[in-house]
Amino acid sequence: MITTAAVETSPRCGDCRHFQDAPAVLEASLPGFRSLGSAFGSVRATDGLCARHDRYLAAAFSCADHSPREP
Amino acid sequence: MSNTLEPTANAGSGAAASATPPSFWRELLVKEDWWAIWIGLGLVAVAALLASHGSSLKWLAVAPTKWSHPSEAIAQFTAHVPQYFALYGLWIVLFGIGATALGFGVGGFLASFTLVYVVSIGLYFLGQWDQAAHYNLEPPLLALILGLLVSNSVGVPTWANGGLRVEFYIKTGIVLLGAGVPLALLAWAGPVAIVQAAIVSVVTFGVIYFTAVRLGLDKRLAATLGTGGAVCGVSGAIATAGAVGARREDASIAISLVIFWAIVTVFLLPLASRALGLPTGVAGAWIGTSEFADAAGLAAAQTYGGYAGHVPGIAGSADAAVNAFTLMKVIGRDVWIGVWAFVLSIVATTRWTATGVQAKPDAGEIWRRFPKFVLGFLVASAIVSLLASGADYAVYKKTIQPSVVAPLQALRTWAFIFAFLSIGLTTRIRDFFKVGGAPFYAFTAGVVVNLALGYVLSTQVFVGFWTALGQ
Repeated sequence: MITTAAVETSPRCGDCRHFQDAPAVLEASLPGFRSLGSAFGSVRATDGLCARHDRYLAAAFSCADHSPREP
Repeated sequence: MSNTLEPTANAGSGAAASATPPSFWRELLVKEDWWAIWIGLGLVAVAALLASHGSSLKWLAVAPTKWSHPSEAIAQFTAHVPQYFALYGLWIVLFGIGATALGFGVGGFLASFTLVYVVSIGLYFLGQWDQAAHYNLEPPLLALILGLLVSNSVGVPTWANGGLRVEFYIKTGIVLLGAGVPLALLAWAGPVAIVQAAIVSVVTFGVIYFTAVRLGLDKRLAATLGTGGAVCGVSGAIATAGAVGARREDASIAISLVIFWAIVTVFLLPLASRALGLPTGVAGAWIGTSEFADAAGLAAAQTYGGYAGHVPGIAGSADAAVNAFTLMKVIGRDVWIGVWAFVLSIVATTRWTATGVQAKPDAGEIWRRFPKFVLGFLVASAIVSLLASGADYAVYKKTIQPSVVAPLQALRTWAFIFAFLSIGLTTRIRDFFKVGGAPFYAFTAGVVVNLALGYVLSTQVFVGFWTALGQ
């Protein structure tokens, strides 16, 4: 469990170089995603894949391994 | 022309390189739901405008009619060749603009959509054979089977992705469907659909979740499976996986199980409903309660609607099955995805074992994950209801129905056939065999309960509503 304060100050996964949320990449990484779903739909919001933790998560997540994306 | 996995450099436009949430205005251009709304509502608006000037989309919204001998079908087609070309042009422009905005290459889209359109013409014609129902040659199921055969034998190249957008087509079709569902009907049957869907969703989620946990599965996987089975199939599973931070493998397992059971039930539910002689509205409600995905459910509902008037013993109108399905699935279940994801993200953050990644539950997710195309469905319903508000029933049947509603119904049917064909063409059966025993058993327990409960609620508890819907 985490504290709210810690999360508030942590950088977002969405800004991390390990985070991938390009819709086509998500559909290729998750077989069947585009068959009866879509990475281009509203329901996905800003979710993406974390290559560091091998997890599917929202861009607002954070973690200790954050590595800023190259500008 | 792009022939790589990435549609174009930015794959899905603004959402590609940086995960900074797109602004509201930008989202209107980079999300499929909004493009379905622009296309669907654009067509509804044009139909309404033309009708107000004494004209109609009828010429453009060409569709095959019943035939009994192949020569009749050929004659019918050759008499309307210019209209089929014009319709092709309309779809190419509308879906092409949308696909390009989403980031797909124009060339790949043109090639694959052209193929989809040509095959869809054949399937639509076949479905109009007066013996089609007798031989179970329903276009939705035929499209699905044909697509499955192709994708699982010769395969489908990745450059074709842009033209095989199941959700894009189905969402556009659902927006168009709104034009045929009066607001009064939504107000009358909507609450029943929400109550029925709530009962089934909560029970099915509970069965899958607790069975999965009992079998030793991780709670994030259990929740992802649960919403996949209880709320909205792949979309529900993926929304929950993102909200709770599930493993990539968890999302894959849930997607595979949803598709497997969605394909099974797309054949099973019309078959069982037909054997039981259910009225179209009742069968549509059962399908809407127990199918897992919008596209698969609409295939089943449209198939069953096709039996009306052709299979002895099946009462109700053809549209009632699709309308009841849409009320149950879209209004009753889909719109709650964001709420489920938000609640589960709070539970995951406060009660489940930490995973090294930390969530930040935010009520704004409810809106961000809201399936926006539902708004298009409601607005389409409002536009046509407004148009019909000053007319009595006789005037409605004589003018508004044939000049506005009927052409939009034909266009909707086309969009659905594109979607049904695309389901098969994008489904790989081999993916189903990687899920493992425990997830399969947990999900299947939910399927069994869902089917039984959906049947009881649709045919016993709320049967009066769903039967009346078809009359």
